[in-house]
Amino acid sequence: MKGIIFTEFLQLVEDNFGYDVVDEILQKTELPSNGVYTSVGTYNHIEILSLASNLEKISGIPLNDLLVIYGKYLFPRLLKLAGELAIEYHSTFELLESLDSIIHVEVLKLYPEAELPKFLVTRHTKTELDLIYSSCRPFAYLAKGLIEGCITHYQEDIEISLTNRDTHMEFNSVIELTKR
Amino acid sequence: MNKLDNDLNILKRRVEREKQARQSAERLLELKSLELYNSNKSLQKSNLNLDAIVSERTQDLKKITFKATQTAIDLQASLDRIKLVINAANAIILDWIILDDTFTCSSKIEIELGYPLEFITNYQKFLNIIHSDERRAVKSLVTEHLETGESFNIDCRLLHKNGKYLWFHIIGQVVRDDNAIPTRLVGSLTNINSRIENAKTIKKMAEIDTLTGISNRRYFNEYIEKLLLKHNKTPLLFSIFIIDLNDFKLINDRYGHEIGDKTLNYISNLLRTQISNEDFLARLGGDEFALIIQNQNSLNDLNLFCEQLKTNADKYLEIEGFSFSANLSIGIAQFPQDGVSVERLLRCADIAMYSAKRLKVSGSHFEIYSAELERDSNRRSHLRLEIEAALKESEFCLAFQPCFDLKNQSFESCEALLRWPSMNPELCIQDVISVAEDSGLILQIGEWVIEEACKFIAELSHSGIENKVTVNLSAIQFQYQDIVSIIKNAANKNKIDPSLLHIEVTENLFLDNMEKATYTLEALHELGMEIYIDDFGTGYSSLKYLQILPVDWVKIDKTFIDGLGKGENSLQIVKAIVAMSHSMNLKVVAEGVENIDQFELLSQIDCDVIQGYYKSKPLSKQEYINFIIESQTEFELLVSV
Repeated sequence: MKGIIFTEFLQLVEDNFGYDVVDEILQKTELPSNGVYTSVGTYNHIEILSLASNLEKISGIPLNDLLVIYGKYLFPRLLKLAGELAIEYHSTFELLESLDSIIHVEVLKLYPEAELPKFLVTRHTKTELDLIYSSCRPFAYLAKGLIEGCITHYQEDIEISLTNRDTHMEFNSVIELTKR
Repeated sequence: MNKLDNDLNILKRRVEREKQARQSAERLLELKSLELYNSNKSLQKSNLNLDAIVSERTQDLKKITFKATQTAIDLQASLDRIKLVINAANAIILDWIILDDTFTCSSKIEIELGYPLEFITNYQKFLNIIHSDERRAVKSLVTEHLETGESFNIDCRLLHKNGKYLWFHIIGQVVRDDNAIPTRLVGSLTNINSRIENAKTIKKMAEIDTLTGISNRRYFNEYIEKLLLKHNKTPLLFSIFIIDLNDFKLINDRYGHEIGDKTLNYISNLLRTQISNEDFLARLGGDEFALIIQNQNSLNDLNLFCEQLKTNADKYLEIEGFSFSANLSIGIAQFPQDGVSVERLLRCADIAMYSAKRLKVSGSHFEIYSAELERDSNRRSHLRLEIEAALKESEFCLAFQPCFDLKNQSFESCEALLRWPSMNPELCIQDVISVAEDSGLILQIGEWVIEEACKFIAELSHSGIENKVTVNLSAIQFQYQDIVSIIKNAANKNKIDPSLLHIEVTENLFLDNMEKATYTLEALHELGMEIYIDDFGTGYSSLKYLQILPVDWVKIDKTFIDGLGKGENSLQIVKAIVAMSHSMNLKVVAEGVENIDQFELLSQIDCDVIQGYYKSKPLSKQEYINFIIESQTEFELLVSV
């Protein structure tokens, strides 16, 4: 997992809880990287789950909520880094519909080793869209947070719900979006 | 203090982490720099390779471009040539894309049919300009061609923009895809209108007799065949006339071919005016015409029609100052009663025509075919063969009938008569002569008679008898033989004085060719030969001939002599002939004198010579010699008494 996910996570924790909490979760968590992250490095995704898990314990905020919050925080940061990728989309649905076919294709050009989740997007009506998240990593709530960040960016009013359908083979969730 | 220490520791850890992160980032940066350097190197190498490949590919591309340009130029030239050929060809090129039913024609269509290029845009529009008589055939041929590949090749009429139909020859070839499905049909339309029209004109010309403008033999045959075929569907009656212009050769010889042609035209027009639109007239060739009449089939109708024709034909006609009659011999056969085939009908009409022709000396005649006529014709054919055989086998001989000179009371001449001892007893010698005249055998017989007569004169001379021998010459002989030479040769050969040979001719001789007859008779006369007009009184008995021609004798026909003593008429006629002849310095022979009464009467009216059974029947050579010697002895005795 790219280092930016870690550095941005720690920055979120620092912004909201202070560096003390950052230090605490780094200290409490057994990390192969020893909690030394650079945004350009690559680290095991387990580390972020461990860090989030320890933050849950410290903050009392459920892990999934933490991941949603983090996703929502992360979206504008990523958008700033790769704004030209999303510049031609004008709504959440548009962006989501081109996620797998365009955005991920471009990401893979930059990071050939990246292991990206699959997004199967189905637009039912003008106002309803389903997104099936499937991955070997449990980041459906992070994805939900990112979508929420996207909705905020486009200043849309969209209701979003997540249904978990994990199997022993993969992590799988359905995220339903309904424009209000 | 603890809090402070704790914060310090946190900060220390943070600094340490940041330091490690920086170092880690620096390592990563170095690593990435190295990677970048290597990548750069590799890229430079790749670039060089790429440059080489690009250069190579550019060269290849240039070659290909050059080749493609060349091919395009060649293709354009080829297309230009094809375009030229298409424009130069007398054909409209058509192209039917079957899949979307688009139909295009080359620009020639504007010239040939007057339509703009966009006029015929689909197959149905093309079918629409085909003449309705041929449209179905074209359509089914196209379908068949698409299905089976059977050749598509047909003549049909196409509608010109001006409303007229023109003949075109269409050929086409289907193009199929990989699955053998027809995708297009390419072909051409060639204007063959002139060719078809010319062929029609040629056919018409081939059917017309150029001289008279009526149908010719070829078309006659075609017409009658069609008529017979028609009969298979609808029973009908019709009559075929074979019409022959009598002695056309003489007209040509006498007046020239131009007059001859005009005579044929005259006859053609004469016949044309006699018939109706349903009837058919043709010139079969030479002086022979044929007529097919469909609405006058009873014997009465035919007789009336022919009588009318005869009357018109026998009228004197005037052509360029010449006046003569063009007599016709007409033979008629009727369908179906006389025959049902062309050959049979023509044969029947021919038989009837030849029968009519035998009477030609007295003008136009017609005969309607009958079985009797055919039997007669067959008999004559058979007789002709027998005559030929008899000539070969020397079966003919001459008999000599003594002629008694009433003034001198002596036999001074005889008439040589043809005899055929082995002749069929049902026939008479006149039948033989008639057939011989028809067939031309008379020429051979006539020559033989002259030779035999000369021989007999020589024999008489050897026996101390100087008698004249008269021979009968046929008009045919005058027409076809050099009589003078024949007689001269025969006289020389037998060493006789030709003046001992006398000639008997009938008036028919003058009817045929007056000039030639006159010329020949004068030549014979100069040889000292005397000329007799035979059968005088039965034919035209024209005094004109007697005046003009070098005639010495008139021979009164037996029919008048038979009448002597039975009434005044014959006697008056005979008296008149004798008186008239004498007044013209002609002598008179009466033939067929069979009894003393006739003899006495003829003596009284000053007839010069008599001939007949009363004095003697015709005798063989030896009998004649004996007869003359005997009569001379008797005469001498009588004189001495």
